Amino acid sequence: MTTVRQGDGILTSLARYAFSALCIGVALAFGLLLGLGFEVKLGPVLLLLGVVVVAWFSGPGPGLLAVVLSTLAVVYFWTPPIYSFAVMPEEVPVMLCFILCGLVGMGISLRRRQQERAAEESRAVLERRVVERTAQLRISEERWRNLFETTSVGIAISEPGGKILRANQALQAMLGYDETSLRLLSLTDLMARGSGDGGAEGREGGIELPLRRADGGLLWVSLSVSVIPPSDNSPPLASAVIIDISARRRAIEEWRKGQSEVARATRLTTMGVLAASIAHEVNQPLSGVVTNGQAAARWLSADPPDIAETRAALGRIVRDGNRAAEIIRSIRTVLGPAGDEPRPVSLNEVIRHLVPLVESELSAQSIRLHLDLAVQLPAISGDAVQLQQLVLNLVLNGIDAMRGPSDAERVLTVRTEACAAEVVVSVEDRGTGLPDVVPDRLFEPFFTTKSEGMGVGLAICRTVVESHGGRIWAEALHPRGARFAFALPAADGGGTLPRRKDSRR
Amino acid sequence: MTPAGTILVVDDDEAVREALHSLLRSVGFAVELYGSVPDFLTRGGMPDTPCCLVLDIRLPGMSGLDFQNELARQKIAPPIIFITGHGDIPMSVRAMKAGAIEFLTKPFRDQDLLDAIHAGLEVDRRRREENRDLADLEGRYAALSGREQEVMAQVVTGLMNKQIAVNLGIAEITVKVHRGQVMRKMNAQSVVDLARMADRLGIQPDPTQHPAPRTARV
Repeated sequence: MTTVRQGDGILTSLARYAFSALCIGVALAFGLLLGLGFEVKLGPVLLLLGVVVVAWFSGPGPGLLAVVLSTLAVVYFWTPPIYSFAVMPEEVPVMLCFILCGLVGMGISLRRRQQERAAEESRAVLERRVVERTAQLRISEERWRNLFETTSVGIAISEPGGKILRANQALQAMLGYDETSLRLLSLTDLMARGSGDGGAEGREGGIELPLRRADGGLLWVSLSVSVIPPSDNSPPLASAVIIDISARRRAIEEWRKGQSEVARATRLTTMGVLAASIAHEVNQPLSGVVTNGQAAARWLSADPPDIAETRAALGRIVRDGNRAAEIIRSIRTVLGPAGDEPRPVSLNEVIRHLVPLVESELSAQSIRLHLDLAVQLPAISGDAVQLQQLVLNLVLNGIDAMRGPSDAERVLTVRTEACAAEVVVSVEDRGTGLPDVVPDRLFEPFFTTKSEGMGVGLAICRTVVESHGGRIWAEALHPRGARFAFALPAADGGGTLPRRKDSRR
Repeated sequence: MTPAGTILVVDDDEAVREALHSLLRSVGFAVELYGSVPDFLTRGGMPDTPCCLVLDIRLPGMSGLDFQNELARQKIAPPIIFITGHGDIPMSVRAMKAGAIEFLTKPFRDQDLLDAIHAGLEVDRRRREENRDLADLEGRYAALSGREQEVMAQVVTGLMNKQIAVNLGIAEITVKVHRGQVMRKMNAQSVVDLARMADRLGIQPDPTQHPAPRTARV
């Protein structure tokens, strides 16, 4: 068609018109040759055939030319007067008939040809598309296979029951099985059930569990299974994505260890700060003992010996000795090694045990300690030593805030409350308040407002609170002072610990 | 041994206070106990009898060392014995430089404390006597007339009557009379004695009426 051959130029067009003339010429020649021997006028028929052929092969333009040429040929050779282009009036209808036949023949031929071309073309397009799609599929297939085989993530395709159908190389390498042996197993066979390392842990985007390797070792993985719904030619399947998280677990383990190292170091630092205070605290009753002893000796060697005074001095010796012993006990609680297992802890007890350790510091700063402890306080689960550190840090922080002269009443309030399923401990001071920053920044490591501070105290507090699943916050009080508080989840059931009689005073 | 004197104990720890109370009473001292410096200032204060302060360094409200400075600023200087639970060297140096009698670390030997207290009371007694003498002297000086005080100021610089007369613009005989009055009223045995009194009273020779050069006298 012309639209298809548009770019071919004038030459092609000329060739088509020439072809048209040639065809009609050939038809005319055959017509004349055949016409010589027969009475039947075959010439016009052959010419009509020529028109059809030209229209088929060369399109409408050359077709029209063929109609014109063949009409002229018929007029010249077959209508009387023969060998003249003159047309007798009675022959006009026959001529018009011939022209009409030529045009109709040409039209039918063109139409058929057009349909043929369209069919051909659509077939070609279809074929091309099939070839393209096939290539694309092959590429896609290859790509997916490569992804499946070369990814570092282990992938297994299994039946819904867990029987493994396919396992990629990463999974084989992870578990130390080849694919053939994996195909004999199901996913559940691989799970190291009842292993000493604990069971599966639910995590966002999959569960974490240990798998049994071919060599019997355990491999911690994150496993997420998704169901592939059944399609026309495939039953439902399950795909399991298995990620080796042993490195991550190791890192977390080390991070935890590091955290506890930091906590221990801070504990030592805190204890260092407290050491002077404690020394003073123990030394007071001890010097009381010594001086009372010396006094008793003098009362006895008086003449006459004063027995009543001696007895009173001895009584004070016993009392002061006991006091020293109790301080030592409290220190031992604080300094004791951190327990690995979380235990039920009464925060009230923790706070009461702290009092002897800060008493001298409080007294030196003329600060009154006000304990406002809830009567029925649920126990929380955790490490008593760390919690003691936590409260101690907050109390020392409060004392620091009130250091220096001030007109305000010097009171430090430590309060415990049970709120829903939480235990809230708050330490309130009447000190200088909070620095003008986002309160959360206070708990960042190395943030400090004290000239001699390292800025780890509150950061450690946050670490301890968060490791106990709680939260810590600070707020300024008006007109002055600040409140530092933390909330810890109550231990299971929120039951109270058996209450012990307060051993002090 | 029944030493006269009051021992003022300021310590925030009751156990220490009670023990010191017993110990000091056993040797016959009168003892007063205070829990802090403000407690001492409101309830007690300095007695008029010879006394000795036994001060804890670490006290609520005002530390022992600060109290020592405060007393020195007010020109009240009772003898102070520091007792502390955790004294360090700089602290003890500071205390001793500021005039403390002793710096004891708890627990201390009773005899060390008692010796220090005796020394302290002795110092206080002497200081009180001196203060009494000085007050007496000041009373006598105040009894002099204005002219007599002028003459005394000239006499103690070693000037002769004639020079004093010229300096003050009065007759030599009048100077002689004033001089006799001064010696009598001040109860001075000699000019040297008078000069020592002037020294204690802090009388400075008047720089505007400078005496003749000493070389002229020799």
